[in-house]
Amino acid sequence: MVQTMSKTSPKICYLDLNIDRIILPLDHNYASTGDLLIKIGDSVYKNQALTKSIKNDNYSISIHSPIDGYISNIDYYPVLNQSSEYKTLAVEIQKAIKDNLIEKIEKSAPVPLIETLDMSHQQLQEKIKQAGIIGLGGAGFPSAQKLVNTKIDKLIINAVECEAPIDVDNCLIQNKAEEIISGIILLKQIYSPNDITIALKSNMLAAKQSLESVINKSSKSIDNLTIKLINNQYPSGYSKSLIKIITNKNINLKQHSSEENIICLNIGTVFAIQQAVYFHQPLIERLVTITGDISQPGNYLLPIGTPIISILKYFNVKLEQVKTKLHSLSIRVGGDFMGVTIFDSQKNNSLEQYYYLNKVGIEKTTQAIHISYKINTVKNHVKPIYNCIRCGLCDQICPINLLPQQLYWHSSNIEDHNKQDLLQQHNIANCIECGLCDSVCPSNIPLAAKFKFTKSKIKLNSNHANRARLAEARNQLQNQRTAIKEQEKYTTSAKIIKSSKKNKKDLLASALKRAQTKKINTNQKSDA
Amino acid sequence: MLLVIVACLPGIMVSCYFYGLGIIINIMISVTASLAIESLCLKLRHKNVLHGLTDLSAIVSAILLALCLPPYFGLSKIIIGAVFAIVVAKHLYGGLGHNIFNPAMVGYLVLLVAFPQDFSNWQLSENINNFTLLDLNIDALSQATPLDPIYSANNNIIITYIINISWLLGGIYLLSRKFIPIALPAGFLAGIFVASSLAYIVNSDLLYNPVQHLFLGSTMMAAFFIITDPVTASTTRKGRWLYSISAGLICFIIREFGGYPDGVGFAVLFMNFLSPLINKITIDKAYVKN
Repeated sequence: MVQTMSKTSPKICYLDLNIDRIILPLDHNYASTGDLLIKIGDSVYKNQALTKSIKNDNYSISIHSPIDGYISNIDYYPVLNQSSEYKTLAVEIQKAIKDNLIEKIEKSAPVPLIETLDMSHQQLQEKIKQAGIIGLGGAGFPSAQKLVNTKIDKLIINAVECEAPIDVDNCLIQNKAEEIISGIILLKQIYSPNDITIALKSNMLAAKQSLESVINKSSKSIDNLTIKLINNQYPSGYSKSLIKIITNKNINLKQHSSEENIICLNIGTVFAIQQAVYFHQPLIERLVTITGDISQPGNYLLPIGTPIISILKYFNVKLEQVKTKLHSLSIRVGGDFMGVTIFDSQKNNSLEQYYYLNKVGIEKTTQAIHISYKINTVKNHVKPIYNCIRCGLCDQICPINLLPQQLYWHSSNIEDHNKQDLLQQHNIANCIECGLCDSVCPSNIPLAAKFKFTKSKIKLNSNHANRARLAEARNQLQNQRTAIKEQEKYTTSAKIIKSSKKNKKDLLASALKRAQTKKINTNQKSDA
Repeated sequence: MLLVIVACLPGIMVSCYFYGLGIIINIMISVTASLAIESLCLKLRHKNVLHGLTDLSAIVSAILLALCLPPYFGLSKIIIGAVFAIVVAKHLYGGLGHNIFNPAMVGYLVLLVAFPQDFSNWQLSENINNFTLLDLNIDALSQATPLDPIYSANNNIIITYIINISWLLGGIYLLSRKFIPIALPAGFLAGIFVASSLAYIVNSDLLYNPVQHLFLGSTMMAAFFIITDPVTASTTRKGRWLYSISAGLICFIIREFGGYPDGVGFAVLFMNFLSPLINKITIDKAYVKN
């Protein structure tokens, strides 16, 4: 399953793509995008905000247009990391060249490294939300939420790209080391941690050198900064694993690491924050490693929303010709373990896949695209799935000390509540879907995918259960209210009947009077 | 699974040396019968026959079953045992990975209950005479099963020691290749050791000492090859210790106070009943491993 990585140059390459379309989905993993500010037909310029983030909600961000153009469509599109049946609202922008373009974003001059930050942390949170920054390490957690707790002991900058063939952080450090250090100084003023660690992969020696040269130039205010090289073992890039490697602390898997006063941020996110604060630059592009059997593999700076089909056309990847018996083409987005194969010519639904590729684009959390042509040998053939033989290899390799064979055993009948309780007891919620159990299974069972599905099912069931409970509570309250009303009605009517027994005539007279006044009133109304 | 067969070889060779070619004949009959029955079952269940046979699980259980039986046991009886092991204990419960009971032990116990008199027919081969160098006096050439601790003739104990040491070597090879978890064999041996030492403290002249107990009968074979069946043993880390220590204790109790020869078969089957429960009550806490 491990694919060979072709050598990528450390320089940032730019795709001379002439992108004509951008597809921006409004749905992210954790973050919501707020209300739309534009409608179909509006013209937009580069860096214009398309949605408005909600003020006090740290999980809400804005998204921005990476090109000049006009909004061509707002409709339901599929999303890159999900199956093609999942559709979410997305904005499609067509490129248009404008003559009277007003550059509304002013770029200030490059600032020196040492500068005091004159904004409070709430202001920084708003700035980050308005720039649309989410975690660029792959999960996409909204970065504003990480600034809630500012009493931090340890700040860890995560540049351990543990999945091959992702190489973006390495490239970013070698080319933008000054901006990264400036961003770290900025964060230091907000968090004032006791020490800061930059965690690099053990073979990122050139990156370490570039960082050190920048630090040596300005050694004044970054004295508690250390650079640590981490052994390249998957999944050491997972934040809780990394925290354990660096600080030897066991973070409770149900909590966020900020409750132990440790914050872990991806280095790409730090760069984006620095660009947002100093240059008011929102997040509209990111580095993506494109490798495989293509002419120029490398790290490319792509606008977010670039359609995948445009990238394939640039690299002359022909999707139609590969339906031969000898070769098969597969396109994988993401790393070896956690990536998703978005095109596989061995499957028979090529028309569906082609449609899918036309409709999806790069997202903020996309790290790598791997395009590989394989010769159809027995080894590369799609392996059939057999029964679990309970060998226990998956149990030995799980980094979270879970028991995948038991989780698989119990996830066969999800609707059963006993099974759900058992799964909760086995801590299925802590599974990080790293895919290590998949890679060792001798029966080729797709375990990580099964656990992903099971977790979403459990969440759905618990949502149903919660809603059912709320509905029942509401129903009970409603019943109580109607009972009280009935009671009151009964007592008042009883009173009336009681009193009427005494002086019926009076009642009748008063009723007649009321009817007469009503009639006069209606006559008056009709006259007027 | 090929590793397991390779690790069995020292034990098989030493047993052949002492008990003659009957052991090899048993193994051959058992393996052929098991392969035939297994392919028939897989075909009837519409599964891929080649894949089911190439993981060699049927061969391993056939070998283990054959080693529990006396030499020259009889063709039809071995086939009956294999049928019970493969069809009833394995496929009727769902095939490889889903069986609750250890197939080799089920086959062995069915034969034990059905043909009890045939189990007292262990004939030693003439190689015994080589051991006169150690000045042993061998009274009789036939004895009860090697699964039966030999209380009567102290001299024949050397044979069981040597056989057990050869199984131990095979087991250590498996451990070094990390094919079996350390908890299962270590717990089993610990269980037997503790139980036998307690009994020895109480009554030291009638019983063997604890260390001797570890090399008696088929303890080593059971510890490394029978208890360690991954499908039927417990899967949690703490659960494995609980499973194997209890199996060791029960095995000792059956040996001492029970009427059957070596208590491994019943002890393993008893713990197989309990392993789903053990799995449930010993769920590990989730934490990030280094």
